Amino acid sequence: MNKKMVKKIFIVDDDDMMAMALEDHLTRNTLHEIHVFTTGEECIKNLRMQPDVIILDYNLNSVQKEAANGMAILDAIKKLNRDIPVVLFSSQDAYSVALQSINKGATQYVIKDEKAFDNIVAICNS
Amino acid sequence: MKRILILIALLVPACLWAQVDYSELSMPELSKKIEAEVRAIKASEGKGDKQSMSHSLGNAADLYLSVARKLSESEETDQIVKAKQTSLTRSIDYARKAIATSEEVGELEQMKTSYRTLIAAQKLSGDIKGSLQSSREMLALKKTVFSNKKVAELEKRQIEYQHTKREDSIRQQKQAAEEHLKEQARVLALKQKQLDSTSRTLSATEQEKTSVSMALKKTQSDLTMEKLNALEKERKLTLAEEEQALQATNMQLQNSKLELQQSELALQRSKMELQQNELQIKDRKLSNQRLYIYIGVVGILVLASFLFFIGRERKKAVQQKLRAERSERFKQEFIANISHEIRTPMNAIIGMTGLLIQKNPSPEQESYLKAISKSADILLHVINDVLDLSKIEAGKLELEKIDFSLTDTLKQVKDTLSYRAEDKGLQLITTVDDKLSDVIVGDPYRLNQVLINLGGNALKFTEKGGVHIDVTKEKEEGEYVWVKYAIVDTGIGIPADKVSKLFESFSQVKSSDTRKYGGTGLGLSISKHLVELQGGTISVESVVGKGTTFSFVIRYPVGSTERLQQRLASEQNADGTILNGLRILIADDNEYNRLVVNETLHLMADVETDEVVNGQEAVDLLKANNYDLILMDVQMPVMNGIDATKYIRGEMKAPKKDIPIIALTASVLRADLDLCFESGMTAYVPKPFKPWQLVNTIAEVTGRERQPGVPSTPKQAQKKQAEKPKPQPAKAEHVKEEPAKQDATGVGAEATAAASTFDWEKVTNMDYLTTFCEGDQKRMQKYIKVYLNALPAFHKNIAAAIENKDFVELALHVHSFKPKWMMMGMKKTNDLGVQVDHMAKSQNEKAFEDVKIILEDIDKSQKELETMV
Repeated sequence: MNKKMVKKIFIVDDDDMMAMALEDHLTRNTLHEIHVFTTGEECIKNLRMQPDVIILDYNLNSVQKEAANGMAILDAIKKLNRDIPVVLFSSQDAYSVALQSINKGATQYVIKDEKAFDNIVAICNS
Repeated sequence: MKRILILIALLVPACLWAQVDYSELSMPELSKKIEAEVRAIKASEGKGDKQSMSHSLGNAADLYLSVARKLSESEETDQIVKAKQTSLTRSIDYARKAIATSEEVGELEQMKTSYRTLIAAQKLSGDIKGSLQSSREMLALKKTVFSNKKVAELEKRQIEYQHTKREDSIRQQKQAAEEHLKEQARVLALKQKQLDSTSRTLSATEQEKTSVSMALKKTQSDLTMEKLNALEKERKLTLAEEEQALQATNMQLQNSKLELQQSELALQRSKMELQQNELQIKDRKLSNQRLYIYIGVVGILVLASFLFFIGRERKKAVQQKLRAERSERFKQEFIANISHEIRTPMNAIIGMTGLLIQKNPSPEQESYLKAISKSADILLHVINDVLDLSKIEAGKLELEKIDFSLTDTLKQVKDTLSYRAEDKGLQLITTVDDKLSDVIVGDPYRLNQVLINLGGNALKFTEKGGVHIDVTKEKEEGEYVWVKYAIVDTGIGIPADKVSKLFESFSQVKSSDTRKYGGTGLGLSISKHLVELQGGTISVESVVGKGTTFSFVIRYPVGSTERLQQRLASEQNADGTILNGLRILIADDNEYNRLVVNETLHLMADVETDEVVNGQEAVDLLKANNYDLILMDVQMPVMNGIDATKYIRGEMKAPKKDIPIIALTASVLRADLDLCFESGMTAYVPKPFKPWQLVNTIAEVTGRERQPGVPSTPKQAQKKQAEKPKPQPAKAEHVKEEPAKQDATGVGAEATAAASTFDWEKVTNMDYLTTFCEGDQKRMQKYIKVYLNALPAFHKNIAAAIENKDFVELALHVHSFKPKWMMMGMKKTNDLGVQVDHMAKSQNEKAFEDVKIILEDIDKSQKELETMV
């Protein structure tokens, strides 16, 4: 039983609907502690809170033009702490994007569709 | 007389030791002094300095007394006696004034001195009574002074007691007080002596006077004595009282000490109480804490049991879900296995039979081969039906959304069905309304399937007459067109009571019909599902013996001919030359499949290929040689494609571990494709594939994207001509049948009903959100509000992107809105969004047109959703 009952989960998504829905879903279906950030920079700033899982959106600059994108944030997270599992969360269904993120060290790649929320819950619980 | 005076003169200095003796002075000096003193009196009176005035008055009185004494030493002439009396009177006057003044100022010593002067003067003037009176006054004064002093001292002592609370000082003060008393007693004794001497003086005077006056004096003196005794007694009494007062003070002191002790005790008691209170509070706190702990423990127990319960429930649910998933998975695997195990040999049978027929067989052999081929076709058809139905039922069938030509599709349908019609000597007519815009956006393959199914069905159950497939425009609104399809036959007809059963799986009107007409009975069921997937409803009208009409209406967005030609071009211009020089490893256990892949590749490009029959060989060969790509079958003996890919990705070293791997699979099940991607495969090509699919996929994964607008070489074009069916002719070339509009009148009412179903067809669908929010209206409204609030910004961003022709912005905003469409159940909008996203990314101007449809959908969704919040 090295699995933590309650994990600290970071959600990084600039899409209000997705962040809200995911937070809502995780709060209702798990006991985990959820923190939502709308930019990757904010997530990096709060990395010392030592999250157990980071769910990272691929597109992070649809609202703030100057915000860094998911891949850059993934690189930054991995540079600061290689061991935090990062789940890329994207509506990009291009296989190359998934492959690229896995190569960069993402643990999982989840496509934003109807099953995404349950997938994320399963990932967070494992 | 002289002796008495001398006595007094002697007595006075003894008594008044502090007084200045003026007796040595001569008369003129005395009178000078008097004058000086009188001036001083006036001066000090003028200044209001009563202190110095009282001194001067006393001095004046003394001076006058001295004058009187001097005069009494001289001969007793009338003149002298008069002068002596005058000076005495003045002395007495001044003395009295001095007493009054010093009393005012509180100069007690001056008062005493003045009293003494007064008494002496009175005695000298022979006023015994006055002198006694003065003596008494003086005594009273002294007493007052003394008692005043005592009171002051007592007060002081009391204050000191109160302040210092030291017994020592009290004792000292007591001693001091006793000393004072003794002194006073001494003073009293002295007074007595004085009185004695006075009485002796009186008795001496008596000798000189008559016995009567003697007696009188004696009586008086007795009286005085008595009075003095009384005074003495009074004095003692006062002393005793003082003693008592002192004792009382002591008592008070003790009392106050006691009180102090008591108050200290009280203080201690209150402290004790305080401590007790504190203790009680602590006690209470402790008991409260204990209570909290109890509550906490109980709460934790309840929570734990609750969690345990929930956990067990969830575990149960999860187990059930897992079981359901496993059985679903098992079913899917079974179907996929059937699909693979049957399709692969079927492909081989059909392909090889086709080859044999071309090898000049004998007529007998040819008839056998044709029978094999036909049976194989039927079997493949049945298998495809079964697979389609299972896919539809599992909700796994996904519709295409591409531009296609209605006339082309109808021509294909007619081509497919015409030989069957010819066989039975039936007429087959297809008509397309020329008011219809020919190119629309939808799924041509599924439309084709439905029309072939229904048309084939109609032909099957018709013995004479014919079948008419009629396509007309129901209506057109904005970007959308409603297309009505009617399949009319002159067959046996369906009894009204059987119509409702018609679309159930494995259903034919009579079981005997099955034997007679053949078929799986799945066709209608699949058609119904497919039409519903495309947003329509099939309806049937039938008269037994006369014929049947199947009809349905589907809404399509109006398409673009340009886009259609682009698509066809991209499919047909699969320019294999871009693959030239690639080294490709083909892993497939089926020889026929390897042959097809090899042939396809070599016909289109100059590539090097190696073939292996299982995953293990693929891995070994990859270790030995360098390849640009692996085409990997999924199901192979020894080591399957999934395991081989996992090994390559996990165990081998770069760059070989990163080699692109394309899955070749007969399975179209999502779960199987997921497995491919999970293992690390780069892409997949379904089996059987079209050459352009293979070429395009290889080009994509190897980074050899086709350059738009670069024409293929003539050699390649020729190869393609040989390989591919002739491109479909454009609409103009297609020979249109006579539009049979009148035939449609019979189904007009029904068509209107069908059309009306489209009117209330919504762009939004709350199914997903309802499930997600577990039916909680408030939560749903929360999401709907977020969606509605995001719309103005979306409109603004898209408008800006259109105006600036900014592909990047357009793609970004359309892309980022996809999750919102998903949540709002706007599947069609979402699909359109995906297309616009892709178009914008490939810099296709059409994106700016198509995004307008999205904006319309969004306006509709706004109207639909605003009623909900």
